Amino acid sequence: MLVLIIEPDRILAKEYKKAFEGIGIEVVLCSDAQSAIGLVDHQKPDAVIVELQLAGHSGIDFLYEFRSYEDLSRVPLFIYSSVPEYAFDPDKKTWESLGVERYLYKPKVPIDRLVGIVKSKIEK
Amino acid sequence: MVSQVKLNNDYLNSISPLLFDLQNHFLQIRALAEAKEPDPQSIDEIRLLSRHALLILDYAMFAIDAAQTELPLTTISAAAMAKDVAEDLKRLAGAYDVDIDLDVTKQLEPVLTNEAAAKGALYGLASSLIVIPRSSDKKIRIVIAAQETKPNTQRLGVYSPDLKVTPSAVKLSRLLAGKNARSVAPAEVHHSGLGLMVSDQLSQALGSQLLKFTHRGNKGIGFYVPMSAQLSIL
Repeated sequence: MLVLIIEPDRILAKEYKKAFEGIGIEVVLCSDAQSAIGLVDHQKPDAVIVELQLAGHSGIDFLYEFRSYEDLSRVPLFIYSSVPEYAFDPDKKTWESLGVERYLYKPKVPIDRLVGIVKSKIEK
Repeated sequence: MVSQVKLNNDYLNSISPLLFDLQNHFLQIRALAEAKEPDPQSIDEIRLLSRHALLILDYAMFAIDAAQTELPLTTISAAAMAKDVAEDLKRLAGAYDVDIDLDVTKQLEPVLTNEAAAKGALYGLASSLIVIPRSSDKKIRIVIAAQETKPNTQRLGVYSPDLKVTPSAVKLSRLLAGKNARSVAPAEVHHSGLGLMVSDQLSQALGSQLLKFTHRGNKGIGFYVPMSAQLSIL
């Protein structure tokens, strides 16, 4: 199982990787949308976790680009962001149209819960 | 009669980069603390991040005060301030895979300035460049420099051969400060807006401002620290 995590903060990214690898899930880290898109050309992940605030292209740009690939249209996507959902899409329509599985707000969702949510989705 | 407490919206907006940055430090500390098997290195990182968060918060509170009061001036060496800031940030830089170099012109005359404000401005600037999100995992180098660039004026700045240091980050930080929201801000602002805001405010409190410069071919941001006429005669 492979999870792609797009997280610009190096310290957080390192901890996410440690947590997933601790339960036997392989992780590939990207710090920006551009390199993540380059990566999925070669390696199809079983799930993707993305922070919306990225350097350069935003996480939303990534979501649109990612979903435009037919072969990736069913890969579960999770937003794990330090911006609360109400800040820009209160009616959740954008996330639904992009097939976002869950919007998880970092301050309210600790890493072990994130790991549990993603793991149970992959195993389904 | 019901009295109403009205919060100053400008004030709230101006502290939003502070909140973003502190939120990130808390998330880092929580992530390290909640790790299944915290190792001594994680405990050390928690100490380091807490120390940095407290220091930058202290400078932010000082910047708010400095905007409203006249700062006392003392005679101080710009070179020593640059050295102190480089030393203070060495471990934080290590955690972010950043090498810090110091480049100080020899025998710089002392400057008459407010030490805390000048140091805070340099610390905010340098720390924001350390934590700014990068698109590559490559180790990078930043240079903290103090130099005399024109008569009676010295310049403190931070430069990098690896980062595209432009004033756009400063502009973004100001934009965010003027915005009334937790809107989708670029990661640069989200992670380093506080340092830039502190640097911007404190350099203004010194009667200076953040400007872009080139130093030994490296682009960077810095500010002038004027020397007093009397001191330059000595």
